[in-house]
Amino acid sequence: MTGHLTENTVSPDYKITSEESMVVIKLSGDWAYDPQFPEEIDVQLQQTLQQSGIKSVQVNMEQVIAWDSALLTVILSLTELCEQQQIYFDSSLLPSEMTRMLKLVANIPVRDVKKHIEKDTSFLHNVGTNVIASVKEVGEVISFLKNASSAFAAMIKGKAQYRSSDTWVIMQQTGAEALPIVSLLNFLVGAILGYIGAIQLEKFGAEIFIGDMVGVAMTREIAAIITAIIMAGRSGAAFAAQLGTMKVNEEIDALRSMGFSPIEFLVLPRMIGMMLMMPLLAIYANFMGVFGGAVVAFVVLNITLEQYLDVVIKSVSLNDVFVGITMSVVFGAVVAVIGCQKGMSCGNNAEAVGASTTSAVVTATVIIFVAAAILTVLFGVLGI
Amino acid sequence: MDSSNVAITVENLTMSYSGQVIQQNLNFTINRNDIFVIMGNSGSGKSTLMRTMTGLHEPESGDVIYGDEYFWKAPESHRKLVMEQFGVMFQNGALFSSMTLLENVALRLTQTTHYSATRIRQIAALKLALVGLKGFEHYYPSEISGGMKKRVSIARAMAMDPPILFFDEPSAGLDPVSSKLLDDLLLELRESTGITMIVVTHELDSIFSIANNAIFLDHEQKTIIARGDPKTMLAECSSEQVQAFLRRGKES
Repeated sequence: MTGHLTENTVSPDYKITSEESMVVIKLSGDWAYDPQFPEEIDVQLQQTLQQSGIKSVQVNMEQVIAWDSALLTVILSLTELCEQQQIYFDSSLLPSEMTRMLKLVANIPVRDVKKHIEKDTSFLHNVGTNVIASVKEVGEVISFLKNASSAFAAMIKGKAQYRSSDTWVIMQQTGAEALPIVSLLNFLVGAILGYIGAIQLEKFGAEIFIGDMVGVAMTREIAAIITAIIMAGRSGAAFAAQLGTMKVNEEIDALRSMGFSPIEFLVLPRMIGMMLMMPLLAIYANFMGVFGGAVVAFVVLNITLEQYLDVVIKSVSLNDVFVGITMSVVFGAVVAVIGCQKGMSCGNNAEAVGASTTSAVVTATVIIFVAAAILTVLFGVLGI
Repeated sequence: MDSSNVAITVENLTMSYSGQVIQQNLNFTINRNDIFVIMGNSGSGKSTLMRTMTGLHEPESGDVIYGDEYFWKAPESHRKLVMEQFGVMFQNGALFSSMTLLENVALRLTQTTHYSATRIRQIAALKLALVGLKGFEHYYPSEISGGMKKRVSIARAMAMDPPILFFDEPSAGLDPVSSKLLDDLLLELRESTGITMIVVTHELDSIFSIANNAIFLDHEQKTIIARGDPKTMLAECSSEQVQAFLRRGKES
C-alpha cells in the first residue's frame, strides 16, 4: 500500500475484458488518493459479473503504481460478489500486501453484536421523548432539592461533612470576583432606565421623579434580577461545569467511596456561598443602578446629585429593600440549586459537560423570571 | 545501515516544559516496518517524546526527520503535509463523543479526500472491521468499552493508510486478555500492511511480545540509556535502571 503523499504520475484506470468464461480486470496507474478515482467501478464490476457463464475473475494489478484503502474496498466487494455467485477469484496478480489485507479481513471473527437501536427521529417521538425527559428532569430536581434540604438540616445540626474553607472560596468567587461585572451591568441598566424615564418624564415636566423611578425599580426588582442573571451565566455555569467535570473524572465516585455525601461536600458550600453573596451583591447592585440613574439625571436633565438622592431616599421604602433582598435570596438559591443539580446529573463525557452547563444557564434564567413574576404578584397581594 | 530503510530519524532532540528539560540530546532511528517501543519509568518523558514526534509539543532544539523531510524546521504548511504520513492512537482513545464510530473513523477522509460519501463509509467500515468492530459502526463512544475505544482509535489512526502509526499506552487499563488481543492485532497489522509502529508503553508483556526495537529513557540522566531489542536488552544491558524496569524491580 502506498500513502497518498505519492506524487500522481498516471491517473487510475481500469479495463474489463471477457475471454470465454473468464473476466480479467486490468488496473493501472496511481490509485492512491487520486481525485480521478473511478467511483463507478463497483457498478461496472457488478454488471459484468451478472452476465451468465462467468466462472472465474482475475484482477491484474501489475501496472498499479500505488493504491490505498479505497481500491481495497473495491477488491473486497468484488471478492464478496464472487463468493455469492460461486465464481473463482484469481488473486495471483494482486500485490502481496493486498492479498494479506484481504486474508486479514476474511479471518477476523465477527463479534456477536447487539442490534443497535436506531434513534426514531419522527416528530411525535421527539415530542414524547422531550415530555418524558422534562418530567424526569423535574423529578430529578425535586429529589435533588430533598437531598440538598437534608444536607442543610445536617449542617444546622453540625453533622454535615464539608470543608468550611470551600465555602469561603465559593463566596470569594461568587461575590468579590463578580463585583466588576455586577457594577458595570447594573450601572448601565440604571442609566438606561433613567434615560428612558427622562425622555418620558420631561414631557410632563416631572423630571425630578427620575430618582423615584430608578430608585424603586432598581431596589425592588431590577437589581436583583440583573444580578441573578449575571450569577446564572457566571457562577451557575461554573458550578455545572465544575461538578460535571468532577463526575467525568470520577471524583464524585471517589468521594462516595470514601463515605462522603457529594451533596454535603460539594453542593452545600456552593449553595451557602451563593445564597449569602446574592443579597449582598443585590444591595451593592442597587447603589450602582441608582448611581447610573444619577449620572443620566445630571447629564440629561441637569438634576444635581443632592436633588436626585433626596427624591430617591423619600421614594424608596424599607419594604422595597426587603422585597429586593428576598428576591435575591430566592434567585441565589435557584442559581445554586440548578447549577449544582445540572452538574451532578451530567453524563460521562465532554459533550455532556457542555450540555449541562448550557442547560444550567437556560433553566436558571427561565426560573428566575418565573419566580420574579410570582413574587411580584405575591408581594403585591400582600401589600408589601 | 541502509538509509532508505529508515522511516524516522530523531536528531539531537531536547524537550522541555516551562524551561525544565525533560529529555535531552536524543538520537535514534526507526526502521520501516519496525514495532519500535519507547519505554521508561513514569515521568521519564515517553509521552512528551511521542507528542514532539507527532507535532503536538515543540522541542527546545533538534528535530524529527520523516524519511528525508525535517519536521520542526519546516514551515507549518509543509508540516501538515508530513503529518499526513502518520496516525496517532491516544491513550484513552480520544474519540469524538458526538460522532458515531463510523463518523469518527471517516472524519479525516471526509475532510481531506475527494472520495464519494459511499466510498468513505466503505473505507471507514473496513477499518473498523480490521480492528474487529464490524457491526459497531453506528454506536457512539459512550456505548462501547474502553478496549473497544482503543480499537476504534487505531481504526481512526489508520483511516488514511499512513505508513507510520503512533500508539500512546495502548494496553493501559486493559485486562490481560484484551491486552493480548490488542498486541496480536498490532502484529497482524504490521504483517499485513507493513506499517511502522511507534509504541509508548511500560507494559512488560506487550514490550516483549511486540517490540523488535526499543529505547529506554531515563528520568535522572534525562536521555536514552539503552537501545535495541528488549529481549537482548534484558540479557545484556548492564544498567540497573533498565534491569529493574525489565525485571519488574526484581534482582537478576
